Amino acid sequence: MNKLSFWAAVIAIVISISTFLFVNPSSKQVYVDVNKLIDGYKRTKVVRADFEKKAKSLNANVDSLMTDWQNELKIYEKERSKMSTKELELKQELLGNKQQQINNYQQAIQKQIQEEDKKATQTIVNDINDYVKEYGKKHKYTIILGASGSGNIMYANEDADLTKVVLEGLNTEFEGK
Amino acid sequence: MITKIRVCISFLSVLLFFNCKNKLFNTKEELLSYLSNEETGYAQHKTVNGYDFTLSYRPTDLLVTQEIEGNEITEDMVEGLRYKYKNYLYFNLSISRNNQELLSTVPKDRMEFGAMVNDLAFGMRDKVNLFTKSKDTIDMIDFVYPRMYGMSRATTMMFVFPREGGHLNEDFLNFTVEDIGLFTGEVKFKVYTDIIKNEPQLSFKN
Repeated sequence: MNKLSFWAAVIAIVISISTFLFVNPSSKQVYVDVNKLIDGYKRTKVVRADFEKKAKSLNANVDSLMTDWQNELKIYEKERSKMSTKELELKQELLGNKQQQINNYQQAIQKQIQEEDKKATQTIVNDINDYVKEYGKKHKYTIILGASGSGNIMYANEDADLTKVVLEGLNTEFEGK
Repeated sequence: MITKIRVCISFLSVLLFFNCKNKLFNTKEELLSYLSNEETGYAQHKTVNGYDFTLSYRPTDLLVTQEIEGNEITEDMVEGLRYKYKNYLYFNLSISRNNQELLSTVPKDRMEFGAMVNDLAFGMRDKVNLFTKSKDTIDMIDFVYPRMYGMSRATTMMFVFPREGGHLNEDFLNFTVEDIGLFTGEVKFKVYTDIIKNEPQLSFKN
């Protein structure tokens, strides 16, 4: 009888340990480094390149307007000695108005660039959020923390870091493999 | 021993057959309730930057019942309509903020309102995409945006895509909504093809 109890106890312990190790690995505290995910995600480069192209083309419009205005200013400075007072006043007003218009346009363009940047970043964040959520559900994690390097996770064992595996999965999905 | 294995295999085959079979519902309400349950995968919900996005798949029989509502149902009529709708995939996309339509909550002035109406009514073809896991795009056939003039709790649009067998052999389809000026970035939904292949049906019995 004693032998039977001993083996029953051994089996119970083995089952408990396996349950803890294999059936429910989810209770582990795990995390991903969000900055590393953003930097390493292949779509980030694609989205950034698109954004930079768009920003460059928007800035190019402002630059060409500014060059026109500067040329006009140079001509005015060169010819001002030959102008009458009335002409001078008119030209100054014209140049002032033009400069104001360019400034307004530049501000609008800067706002548009900021908005585009925000949209591009949000797209990347959405992808990462979706993937981490799906990964967590699939692997039955109770919680996956997001470390952003600002001190919200001060120490974690290497085993708790899912960044590499999540990044690989994220890139594989992006590449459509 | 061999007999036991045979019995087991037969039992498993029967179980598999019943599991794969499309679910059958008696009423439209039961079907709608089943579809709205996120656990089934037919409806998906996401909140990004304060905006609620809901994507729901509309099975063929839901469109059939919508068309025959109020008429006397005959088997020929049902089969005819199933034939008419079966080659298309229908998705409803709802977007809202604070349980309000976008037009009631997003635009800050008349110009923004006009631009958004224009985007919703004519521009969604360029903003919504459906593509496979291997990035093969399924061209949108059409979409419809019915104006609700603030009477609804969300801006809802229906999108129609061709149901092509090849695409449904992949694990999932990606349904993406590009940013429509809400600063939500691109919002993506994964639609698993097994739920489309085994979509629920209505019994259409009086």
